[in-house]
Amino acid sequence: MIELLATMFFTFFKIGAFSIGGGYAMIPLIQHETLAHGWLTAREVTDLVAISQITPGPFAVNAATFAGTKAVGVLGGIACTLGVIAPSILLTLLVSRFFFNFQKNKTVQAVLSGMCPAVVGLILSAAAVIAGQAVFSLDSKQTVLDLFAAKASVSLPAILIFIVAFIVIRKCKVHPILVVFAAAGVGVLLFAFGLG
Amino acid sequence: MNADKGKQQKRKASGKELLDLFACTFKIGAVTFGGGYVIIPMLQREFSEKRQYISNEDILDIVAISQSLPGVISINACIMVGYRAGGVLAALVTALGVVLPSFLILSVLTYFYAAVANNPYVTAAFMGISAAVVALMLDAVLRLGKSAVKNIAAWVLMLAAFICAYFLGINGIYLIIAAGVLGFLLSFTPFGYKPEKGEEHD
Repeated sequence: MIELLATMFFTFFKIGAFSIGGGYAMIPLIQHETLAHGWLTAREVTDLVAISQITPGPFAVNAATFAGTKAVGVLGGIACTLGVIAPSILLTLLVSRFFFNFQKNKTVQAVLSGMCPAVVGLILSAAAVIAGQAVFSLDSKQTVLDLFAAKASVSLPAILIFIVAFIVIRKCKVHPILVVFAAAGVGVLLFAFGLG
Repeated sequence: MNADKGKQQKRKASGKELLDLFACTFKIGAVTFGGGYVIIPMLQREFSEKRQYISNEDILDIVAISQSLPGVISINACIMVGYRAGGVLAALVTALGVVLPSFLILSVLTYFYAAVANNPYVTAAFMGISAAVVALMLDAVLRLGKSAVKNIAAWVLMLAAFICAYFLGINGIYLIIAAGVLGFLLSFTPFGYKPEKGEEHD
């Protein structure tokens, strides 16, 4: 038990230490680690992203608490949450104390100029995994390439919800909370009552 | 100017101030949806305007630093506010304050989720949500891409990271490290980061 809690702490420490850009940047790392350790299923990761949108607080803390509590219980939640915030605390105090001009440093900026585009690519990858599940019923290890090998099932209601949500978010600047609740309602109508 | 700020940190917050910092960041943590930059205007109102623990200039500094540091942006920002307001102990208190509401809410919610997740209506609702989540994430990609992906080298890095993560299943942490090294090396070539006047605050 102690060993598992320590693994959880250090896994989320790693996630916290390598998340640049906050929030969404953390999704691909959390997706990779929690699936690799078997702490969450692919569906739970997606649900977690949705739950985080409709609950207050930083995604990292929501995700860590959810993953830890789901896998082990309250102690797991505490271990993961402490793990994910520890790098923030250590690094921020270090910078506050010693490097006030940290973010103006040329080397730091050069390193970030490489990391930030990569993070965008990683978020796109996490989105593609979730899209594969939602639209094509792929599992988290399969990619679009598997669509050619296997008989692909395409979920038209999912495509419809995606397109409408995307337009509403981009054009109307609607708050994500409203989008999530609306999609939940439409999801019940289309998938549970089969109105699609 | 920044060296002076360092000296000011020596003051310690009193017990009453610590309690106030905790209550205030707890409140902020409980009402901030989405984390990240959403928290900045709240920190400014509570700690700069209402309490004068820090100045508005501090807030700008804090935004710039907390987004350049790894970790949770909103927690980074809170810790810096706490540190400037009253040292290390105050920083820890603000971190605890802003984390606790999410932690408590999610602890309860996770049990609730586990209990209802297999209900067919809940499953259907989450199926609908997951399609919308893809849209939200794509929106984040476009928004972040606009500021982070501006030249050929950045495009290559972004696409390479996507291919390595999605098709090859490589852990994002290694990709981020590799991209940081490449970003550093590229800065010695015409393709990489070039410091420009006025760009330092970006």
